[in-house]
Amino acid sequence: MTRKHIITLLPVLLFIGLMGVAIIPLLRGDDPSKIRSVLIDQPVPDFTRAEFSSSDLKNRVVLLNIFASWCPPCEIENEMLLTLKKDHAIEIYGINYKDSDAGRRDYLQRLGNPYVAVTPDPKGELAIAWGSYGVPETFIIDGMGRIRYRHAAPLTPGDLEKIILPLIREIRK
Amino acid sequence: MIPELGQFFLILALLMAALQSYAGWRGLDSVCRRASILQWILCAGAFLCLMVSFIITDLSVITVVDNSHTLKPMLYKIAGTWGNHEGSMLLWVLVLSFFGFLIALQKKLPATVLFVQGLQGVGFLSFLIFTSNPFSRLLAPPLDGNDLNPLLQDPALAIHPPMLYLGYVGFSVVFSYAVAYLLRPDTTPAAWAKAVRPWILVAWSSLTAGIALGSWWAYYELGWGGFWFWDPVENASLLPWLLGTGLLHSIIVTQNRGAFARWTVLLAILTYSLSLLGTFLVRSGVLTSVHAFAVDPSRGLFILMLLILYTGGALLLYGLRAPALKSEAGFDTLSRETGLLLNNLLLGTLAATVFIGTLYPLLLAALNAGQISVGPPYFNATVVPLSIPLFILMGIGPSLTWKRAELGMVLDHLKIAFALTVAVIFLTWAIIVHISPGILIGLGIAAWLFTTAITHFIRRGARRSDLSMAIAHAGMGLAVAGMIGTSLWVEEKSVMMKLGERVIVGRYELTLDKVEAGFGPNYSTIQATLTARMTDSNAAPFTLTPERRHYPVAATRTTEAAIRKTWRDDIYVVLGQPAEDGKADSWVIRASTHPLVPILWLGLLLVAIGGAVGAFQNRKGQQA
Repeated sequence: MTRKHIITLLPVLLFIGLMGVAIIPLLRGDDPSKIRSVLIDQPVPDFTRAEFSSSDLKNRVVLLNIFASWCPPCEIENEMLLTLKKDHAIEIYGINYKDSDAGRRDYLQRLGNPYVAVTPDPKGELAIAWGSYGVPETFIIDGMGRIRYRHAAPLTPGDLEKIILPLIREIRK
Repeated sequence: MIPELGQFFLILALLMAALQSYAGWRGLDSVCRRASILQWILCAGAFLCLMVSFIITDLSVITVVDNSHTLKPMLYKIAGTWGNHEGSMLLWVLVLSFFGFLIALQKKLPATVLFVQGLQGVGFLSFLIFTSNPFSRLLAPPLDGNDLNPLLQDPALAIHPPMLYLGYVGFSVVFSYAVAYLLRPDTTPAAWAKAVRPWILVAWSSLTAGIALGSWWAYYELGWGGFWFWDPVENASLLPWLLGTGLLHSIIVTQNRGAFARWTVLLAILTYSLSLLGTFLVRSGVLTSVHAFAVDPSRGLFILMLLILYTGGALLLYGLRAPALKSEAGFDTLSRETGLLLNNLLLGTLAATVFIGTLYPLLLAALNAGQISVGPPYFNATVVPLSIPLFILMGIGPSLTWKRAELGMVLDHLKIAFALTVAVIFLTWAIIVHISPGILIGLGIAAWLFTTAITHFIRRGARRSDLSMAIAHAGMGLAVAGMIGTSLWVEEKSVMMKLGERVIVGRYELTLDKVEAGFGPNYSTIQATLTARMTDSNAAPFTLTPERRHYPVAATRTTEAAIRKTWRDDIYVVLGQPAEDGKADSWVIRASTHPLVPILWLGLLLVAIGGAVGAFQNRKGQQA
């Protein structure tokens, strides 16, 4: 071993580290979209905005959805949110993450607006308060103002049938 | 019968890959050569078998059932062959064996290179046969198939994956050369670099063309009105391109000056590793959802083993053997070597930035902590500031001489280009009243790239050896102008329109004439007809027909944007939802003009052509 080896062996060591870090949870079968948020069963974070505030989320079951017009998965998810609104009369509040006003307006007009109210979050402060990993992300809030579930991926028809709707029914009981 | 034949071909191909590898290592040249050629023929045979299954819609083959339909147009039946995981992996081994075949055609056989190439064949063919078999049968065939994702039914997308794979897998040759050189360093770094360079250029040009086609598809088919979305799948192809671009430049230093040898070999290994990582992350579904990985652990584990084996093995070999590689030649602070070193630093940092932004969800999940925002906000904030110095340097670099450059001479060479750039900025500012500083800076950079490339070429007497760089650099300038046009300079309006109503967007006036329902071969559609008139000229009006399609079999909706291309700009119209509140015959129409878009595609095409010209010239230079 020479001093040069210390440098040339660096890439393989980095690679092993990276593989370890990235792969271990995969082998464990974890799914980050299902990772329990530390916020589960905690009260919703306090915030006050012109469009809606944390107090608006507290007296019935509601969904909170974080989305952006630059996010293709959000476009796909929008149809699911519209279904929840139209067929199941569920109120959805939207946080519009790091977006432009024009982008948001166009997005909602083009795809349909599933939200009761949308608040812009241009600097991502609300998203951080909610511990968001990225967009889209959906939270279910029970009638007591506590977060019961977080979904860090676009909602699919399967998620709706198997997770979201059953949980809402259970909370409402 | 045909699927069984395909299966048989694949198993034989696997044996040939093993034989090629063994013979390559033992130096049995003629055995190795024949095994390489046969491996390619067998892979091509298997590929044809799958294609035939798709063409006749053989519903006893699972891959066909999942991805095709009897009513699908013929072009997409054929393209369906590689529009799915199994088929695209078959395409991967086909391209891999094709490159092995090309190496085997050389007069002086690089046997060690074929040894490494054969090892890769063994790995990927096993992966295909044991975990992703495209010829798996279904015991009870259904009445019809599930259709190819309608978004993928587009001509540009039919040739996009083969182009991209030519690029990705083209770097496998570069990788094989690098590993072979570490195993048996039997020539000087300069001679090694000379042998690899044409392969780098071939792979890089194909990758450029593949990425451009994908971007073209996103722009024209997805109807989102942009050319790049920082989508993980897109980033997976950008990563090897960025490092490959670095490699393309560092190999010049190794070839001409014998320097940067260790760095170039490392880049060769890393570029291919990123190609591997990209394809497999995309193909295994890990990027879109980590869940997809856990669903089929055997496939995922196999991929991981291959990655660890090839990348890990090559990097370990590099760690042990690289110190023995000779790297010579000192150089001054102001020299072409320094310029290319900076180029590599910037491209490397860019690649690392994109890498982190793309893979962070995986890392985050592993660490169970942290909140980072990704998506365009992250990428725009990091990539743009790194690109600007890179583009400025790109204009200066070619004027630097090897070893030591004279500052006065460099400035003298650049003064015409600089004057032209300033002129372009002032003229644009004077003529176009509503223009933001961002657009002016962007267009200035584009003009700088273009004018430096052209003036450098002319000043040196239009040498043939300078041609490929001149084309590629000038093309990049045009592409940058196009990127500015489609991002910062877009004029967009989103309005609720009644029939007969008018709206003005950019230099066009649009009238909504009618909205009608109709049917295509495998979809139903709602189509709007708009008439567009130019407000600034008397050119004949034309019609635009944006659609919303519904594909019942695949249960998918698509938005077909109507686009009219002119040399100055594209007018782009998307049909949105009908009015919800019962206002009859009102529709959301989003219309936008995108200046300079044609230049974007032309520029990217030139970049790819520049690379191809370089590959051709280097190849000829080698034979001479």
